[in-house]
Amino acid sequence: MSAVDFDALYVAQWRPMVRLAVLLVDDLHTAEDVVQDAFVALHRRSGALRDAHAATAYVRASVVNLSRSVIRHRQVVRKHLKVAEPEHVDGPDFHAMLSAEHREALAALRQLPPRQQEVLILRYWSGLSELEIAATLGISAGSVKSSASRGMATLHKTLGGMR
Amino acid sequence: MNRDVDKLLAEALHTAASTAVRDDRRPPVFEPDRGRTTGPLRRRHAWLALLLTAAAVTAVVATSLTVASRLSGHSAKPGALLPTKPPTATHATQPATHAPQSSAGSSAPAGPTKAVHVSLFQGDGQTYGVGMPLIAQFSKKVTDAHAFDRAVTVRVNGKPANGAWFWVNSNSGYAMEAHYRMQDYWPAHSKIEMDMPLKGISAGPGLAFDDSLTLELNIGASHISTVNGTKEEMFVTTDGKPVKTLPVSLGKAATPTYLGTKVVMEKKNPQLMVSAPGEANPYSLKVPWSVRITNSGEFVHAAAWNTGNIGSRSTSHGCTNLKVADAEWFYKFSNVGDVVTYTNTGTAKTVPSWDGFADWNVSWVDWQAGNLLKNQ
Repeated sequence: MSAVDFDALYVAQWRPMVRLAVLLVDDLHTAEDVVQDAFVALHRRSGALRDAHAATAYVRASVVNLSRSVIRHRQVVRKHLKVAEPEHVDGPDFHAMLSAEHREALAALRQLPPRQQEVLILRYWSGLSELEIAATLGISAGSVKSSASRGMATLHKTLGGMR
Repeated sequence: MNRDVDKLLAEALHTAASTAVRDDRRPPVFEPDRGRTTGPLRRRHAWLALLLTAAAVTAVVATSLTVASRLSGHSAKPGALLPTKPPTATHATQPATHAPQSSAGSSAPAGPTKAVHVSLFQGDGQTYGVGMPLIAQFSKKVTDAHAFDRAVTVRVNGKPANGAWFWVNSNSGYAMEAHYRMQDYWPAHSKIEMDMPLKGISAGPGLAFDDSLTLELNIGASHISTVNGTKEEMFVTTDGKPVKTLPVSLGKAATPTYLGTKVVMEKKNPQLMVSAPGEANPYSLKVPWSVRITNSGEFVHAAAWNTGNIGSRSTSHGCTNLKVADAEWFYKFSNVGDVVTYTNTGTAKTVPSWDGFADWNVSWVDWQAGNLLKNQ
């Protein structure tokens, strides 16, 4: 038996990871696929990981990376395939349940460059520290700081100016 | 208004995440061999692979059995012993278009049958109004509803309900939903029992339902209110008898109230209401005694600020404004599932059937057809 109890981790972390993914990819179906793939990746190497904390960090990093490639793929598909665009790409149903100001905030977030979105989601939803975000994204703490402050500056401008 | 963007963003992310992925959403069975792993399976998951293979084989056999029985006019009972060799002749006579669809499990390299999780909006033992549709929610898009339709039974006071399922896209983060209603509202003071023995049943090629569920709920008194925009009043009945007539103010010309039949979704005291983006006079208010009747944001609520127009003019943003005391009474009177119907609201637009529980705005003929999926 390895140090990481895979099944327990899967049960405990599945929902938080899908929530993180849905914030990144904006579509529940894709989010669940991304998380499944992330756990498959973990499953392949769970024996190599020290503890549950490291395993969780590994899954989280996979979720962010896989989400990024999903989004990139989506953009390529949209650019080259104007016909038969998959449904749900620009307005997932759950948005209808949100209040107007929350929808506004999310719409403003979507306008930011991908890196800034990732940093802000990991900071304001996952509640990670700068160092943890840096480790998750594989960038320096300085880049985390600058991405966060640039992203927030833009949000202040967009959301502040609307009222 | 100077707002705290940090707080707003954190709130928006939190709300979006928990709305999209509700607390009762459960992880699917983990499939370790997904994603084209080439390495050996771990022992503790080997049984899973075995199960999936078995399911795939069953699917192939079951499919060919169905085809066989359709062609020969016999029906195959579920659970009957499966022949080890499907009759090959029927395979040969299969229409070409049917072949790729029926290959649910035969395309082994494409992967195993995917599980469709089923959950219910309602909970056992609760009481709803007569307009409440039963709502089943699915984790993946169902592509064939025939097996579902055959398997699921709904009874009212012990008798078959003779209603139908209507397949729709979900407003609450699920891949799909099915709503069940009869031609008319539920009988008042009745008991509804639903049996959903779906586990292992096909949800389309390559898909199988993963849950068997039952539901028992009660229907309370028949609360049906009619709002007439011309008279600016709301006529409230219980079990067919008039209770009260309340003066109202509906939506002004620029933001009219939808026509049609709406169903009480929830009650909040107070409810935070925020103007739609881009509205001329933006607002953000905490409104007492608010009864939600559409997902898009129509409420029946107290409007102390609008008392002068209530009963005489339509001046709201689409909501039904009531005097404070009337709103408190209506709030306490209402149950989720109660019916409110609107006429003469000054627009030609009927509330879309997907906006809340507005399922009653679909004709019975269209409803029975099943919408996104065919029932029979």
